[in-house]
Amino acid sequence: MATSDAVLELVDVSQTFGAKDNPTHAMKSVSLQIPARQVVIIMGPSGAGKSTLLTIAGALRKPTSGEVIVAGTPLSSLSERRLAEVRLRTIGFVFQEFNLLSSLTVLQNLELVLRKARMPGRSASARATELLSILGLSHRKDARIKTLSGGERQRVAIARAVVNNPAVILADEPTASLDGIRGAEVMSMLQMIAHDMGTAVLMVSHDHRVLKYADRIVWLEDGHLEEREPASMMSSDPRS
Amino acid sequence: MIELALRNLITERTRFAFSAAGIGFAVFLITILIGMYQGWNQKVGSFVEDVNADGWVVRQGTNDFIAAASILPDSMGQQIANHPDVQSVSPLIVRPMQFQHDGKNVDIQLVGYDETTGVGGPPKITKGKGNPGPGEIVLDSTLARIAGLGIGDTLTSGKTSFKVTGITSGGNFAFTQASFVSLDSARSLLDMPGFVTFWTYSTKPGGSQAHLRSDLQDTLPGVTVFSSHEFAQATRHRILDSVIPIIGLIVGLAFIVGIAITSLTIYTATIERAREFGVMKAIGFNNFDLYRLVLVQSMITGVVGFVFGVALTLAVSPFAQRLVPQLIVYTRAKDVLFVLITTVVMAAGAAIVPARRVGSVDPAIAFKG
Repeated sequence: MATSDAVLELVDVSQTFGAKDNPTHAMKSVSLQIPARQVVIIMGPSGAGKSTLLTIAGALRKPTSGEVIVAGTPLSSLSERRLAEVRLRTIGFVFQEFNLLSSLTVLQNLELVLRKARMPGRSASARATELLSILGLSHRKDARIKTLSGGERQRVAIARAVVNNPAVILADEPTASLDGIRGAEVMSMLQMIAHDMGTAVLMVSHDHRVLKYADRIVWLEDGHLEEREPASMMSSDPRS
Repeated sequence: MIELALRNLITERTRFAFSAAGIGFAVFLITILIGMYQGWNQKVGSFVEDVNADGWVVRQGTNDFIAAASILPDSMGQQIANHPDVQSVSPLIVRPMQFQHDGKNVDIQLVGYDETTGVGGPPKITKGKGNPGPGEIVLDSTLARIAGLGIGDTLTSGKTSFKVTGITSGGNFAFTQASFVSLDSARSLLDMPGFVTFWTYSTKPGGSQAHLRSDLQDTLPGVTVFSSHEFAQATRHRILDSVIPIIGLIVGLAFIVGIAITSLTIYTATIERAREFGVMKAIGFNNFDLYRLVLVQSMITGVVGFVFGVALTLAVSPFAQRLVPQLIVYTRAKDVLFVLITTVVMAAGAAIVPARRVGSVDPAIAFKG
């Protein structure tokens, strides 16, 4: 895959934790390119460093060595303030626990991100309303978060993640808190966002039911990444 | 950001109410103490300033009306009157005294004045008659309330008795109250033939007050000549200088308590919302945004607390003054403005520790299930 097509690129990324004399290598010279319009699922055993990879790819943590490039911007030399700006404009996050702001309504959760990106109030409201309509949530736009079902919360979280038209969405176990039907709805939505809107989706999951939505699957174990064929993964237990 | 701050506060109404009440009570305490100080400041000196005189002649070493540790000869009155710029001269006999009524002690700032000039007499009669004759006394209305005295009651000092024939306002010095008798009654009671406590004088139209004062100071032996304003200020200092450090200390403590309560509640809320702050950081908000959010929440809490505190002061003051007549609360607009500024400082101070906590939240917390 050509590097120039990638909207998210990890180049020789290593991450080490712990004391110098007894380090734990969560990632060892990992390289990965994610182009637009692809759903890439990272799998691997518990504690393999999948979430660490997401935090590094998401500009939330600087790696011990290597470079992360998001939408053409290398992150290693950026200040915390600039990293926040990169996260705001080019990365969307979807979390296992939804992590919506409970004091705001559905619409306000989306508007908050748009306003932070300096979109004027009326335009922000229109954009958020339009997106909620596209994602089938317009009837819940004024609802409080605590009144939403788990599936609705995750769909709102996805709406929040894409509201600024990011280059890539990073999703951490987005179906883990949902039943099969709601999980399938969420995966369909993420697939639609990748294929129709052109946003890359990098997702961590333990759930083998999501594999059919993947364009690529990568396996992370002992600090190394390995590409796997979706077909072969679907025919076997992914945790094996 | 303001909307999010408001919604965060409204979501946690109870905590918000506690926090605002904490600031509110601190504001109440600060406002009422400043109001008390201003009330005393106004009352303590106002009688002296309201006496119809341009200057006060007192024995050297005497600096105020309350202690009244001055003795001047009657003859000095003529010496003052002889100055060509003097229009009129009036004597005053003033002594802090204790009278008895129905077996109870009644503390009085006794003022004997010359009924013919009326200078230094009852400022404003509200009941009964104004000019007390022999064996008669006019009480300050606050004293009458404190001591439960009215027209027709009798006050005694040794073998001398005075019948209350009038009630006046304007004689309240906060910590003591003036009551008025004729000059002769005071002389007789205190056994001071040929002496007075103060001489007051007024200047002829067109005469120079400064020049006259300087002349009297140079020619009269062993005295200090004050302008009315100076003597009122000296009397204020005498009373209030001992109170200011206490008021200052309590205002300082109220300020610290206000900061502590607000800081604690906002800090607790911050800890509980650490995950949300982490999520906000993850989705693109920077530390400065979150500091602003915490500061705005603190400021909103502060302003609500301020409104509550000032309202409480205005509501409670009249009842408190009715309950404790010595309490005089004078709430000025500029003092309220000062308290508002203090509240803003208090709210900003309360936001410092929580803001530092928010700054240290790891956005990766959002990934933890």
